[in-house]
Amino acid sequence: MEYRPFWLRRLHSVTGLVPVGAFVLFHLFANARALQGQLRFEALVERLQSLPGLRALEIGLVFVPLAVHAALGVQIASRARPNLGVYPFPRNWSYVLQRVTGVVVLVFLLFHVGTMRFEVARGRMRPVDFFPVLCDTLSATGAFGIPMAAAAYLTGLAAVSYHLGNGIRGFCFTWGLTPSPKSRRVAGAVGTLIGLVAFFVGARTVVYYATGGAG
Amino acid sequence: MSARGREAGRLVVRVIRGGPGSLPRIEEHSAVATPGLTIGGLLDSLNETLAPLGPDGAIAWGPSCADGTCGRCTLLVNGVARAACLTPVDAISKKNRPITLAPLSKFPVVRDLVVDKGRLDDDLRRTHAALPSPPRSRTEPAPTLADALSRCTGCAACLEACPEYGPGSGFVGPAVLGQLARRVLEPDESPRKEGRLDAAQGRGVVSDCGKSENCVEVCPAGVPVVDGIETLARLLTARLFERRRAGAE
Repeated sequence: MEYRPFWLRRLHSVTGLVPVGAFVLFHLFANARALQGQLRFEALVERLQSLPGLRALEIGLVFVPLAVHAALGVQIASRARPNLGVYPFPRNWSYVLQRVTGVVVLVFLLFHVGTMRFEVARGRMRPVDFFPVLCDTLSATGAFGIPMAAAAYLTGLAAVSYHLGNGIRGFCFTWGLTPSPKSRRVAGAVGTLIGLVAFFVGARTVVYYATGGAG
Repeated sequence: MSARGREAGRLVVRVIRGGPGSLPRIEEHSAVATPGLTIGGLLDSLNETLAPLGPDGAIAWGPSCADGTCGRCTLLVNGVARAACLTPVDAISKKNRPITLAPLSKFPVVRDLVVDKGRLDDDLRRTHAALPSPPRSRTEPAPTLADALSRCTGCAACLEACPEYGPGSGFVGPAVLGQLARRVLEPDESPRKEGRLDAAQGRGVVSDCGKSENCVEVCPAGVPVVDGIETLARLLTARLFERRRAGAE
């Protein structure tokens, strides 16, 4: 009997929640420290940078689980044959949006990590530069005065928030924690609440940077 | 034939007909809509006119028990999987839309609206599950989850609606998962429970459910398939921790 697909599906499920989902919430709340000003934000960055074994923690608790979750997620999404046009039910919408937002999150993270964390790894940026770089990047406007980078961040943030919130319900389903319609509704409500909180916290920070760190 | 779906109580009905080795063709017919007419009744009335035309005249679509218990009249009504004997024409033919009847798209066509659901039988056998015989009536109370799951008639509406199930997919589909859950839950099947849980953990079974929950939306018998799938997932989770605990001891 072939059990590998079962274990891979459970691995995909658990990596999405812990540690990736937990890191997302930590990351958003940590970055919200910027709202208290550049000095408070940089003090937090310095404290985090001085954590023993930070590189190992980043790789083991963030990068590897995220890569595993993304790779398995792309495989799951590639199998889907959406039929929203014929069956436009709410949960079918969630099914499609979970896969779409997963891809959007992947693209956004490649952009976000590539322009921030990898620049630090390459020695082209220091952690102390995060605040001014984000202020400059997110407040810059393009054609018609549209802050394109801020719009991209808000889009990515919306995708992350939806994917996390809906993913919490999906985690409960995968592990059989919600075997009744009522328990699935509760899980959905909890996931929605967490997703909304994540979006609200992250969006406030993006808007703060987009207004030059003065809003 | 008028482009309007309904004129003075008349319906335009388009039927996708054909069989293996032939290209499907669309036949357009006119029928009279009477109050309470079902899709099954509509097909019967069309066949009263078509049957005398020869052996290939009548539209193949059943046979049907006419009360939703045999599961053999499922077809696509304007693209949506429905039981012909339970679907009122009035619920479908709105705003002058013609009614289009087609065979289920995820199974090989035998003739006209009849498909070969052999894959469902194969997957039931592979997972040591089986359809209830006879299925519990939709109107009969179902005190337990196993009772509710025993309403399944094998109509395959859930398989048609499932975005993970199809000719290129190895997924057994919601109907099989529901019946596997029923067999696992039934007390007199407890000696075979471990073997069925092993099957549930295998390739193409529980792990392939995509959680669209279309199955419960389209099921004409009201089978709580999603409850059954999650129950299997819960039992597998419990077994995982039991085995870890046993291994640790």
